[in-house]
Amino acid sequence: MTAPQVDRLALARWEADRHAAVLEDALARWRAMPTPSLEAIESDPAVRQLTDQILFRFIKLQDTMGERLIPATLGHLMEAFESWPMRDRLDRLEKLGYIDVEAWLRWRELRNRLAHEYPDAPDLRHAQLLSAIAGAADMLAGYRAWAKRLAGDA
Amino acid sequence: MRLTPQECSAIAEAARATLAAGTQVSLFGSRTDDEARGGDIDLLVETPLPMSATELVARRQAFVARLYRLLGERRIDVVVTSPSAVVAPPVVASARRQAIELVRT
Repeated sequence: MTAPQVDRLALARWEADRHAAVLEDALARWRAMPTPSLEAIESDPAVRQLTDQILFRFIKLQDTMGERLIPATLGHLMEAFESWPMRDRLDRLEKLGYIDVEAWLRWRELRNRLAHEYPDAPDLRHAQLLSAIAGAADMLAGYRAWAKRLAGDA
Repeated sequence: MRLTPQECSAIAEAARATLAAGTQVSLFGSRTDDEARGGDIDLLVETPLPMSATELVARRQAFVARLYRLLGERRIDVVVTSPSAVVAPPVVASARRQAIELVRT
């Protein structure tokens, strides 16, 4: 028997909320200090740990949104999405006001970029990290707005 | 070169929408080899004016996001270089040797 849609959505929300809470706390600590230099990010254990935490939760929240929240939301809205490719799912959710596809794809690019290192280009490494942290903050806001809309639709 | 006409026109459209005028976009890597199979789409983006690392990262992000939108998400690797040469020269030098120009914005 297939699990009822409401359970899938509740599960997705529960998982996303956990990542979002840690991410929110880590971003608040990040904002409370002056933007660190690359040297501080790479050599100060506390700053490095905070940066890693933000990036890890950025990845986890994005995975939860992509793999669970997107299908669960479409299911909740009674959309026949099962055979749709990801692009169509995103387009539909954009039309329904849940997501800005261009922003989502920028967060995807950031996440895919995290695998790249730039050993000879410290400026680029720094800019890439700061961009990922800004993207994490944007994505968190995107998730909060999504959750709010879901609450309104429930 | 192994790119479909649809992929070529998506690259041109994304480049015109997100990169500075006068930027050249070329293909390098395994897709330049007609005998190979599969592989990432490796693109070399050469901008005409110097760019800060922050701008480079933002432009690349917008360019790749637009490509994802036009082609669906896939493995695309973009190396950006400008006269200020933020990127490690060996990567660029090796990419240039194989580069096949696709578009100039």
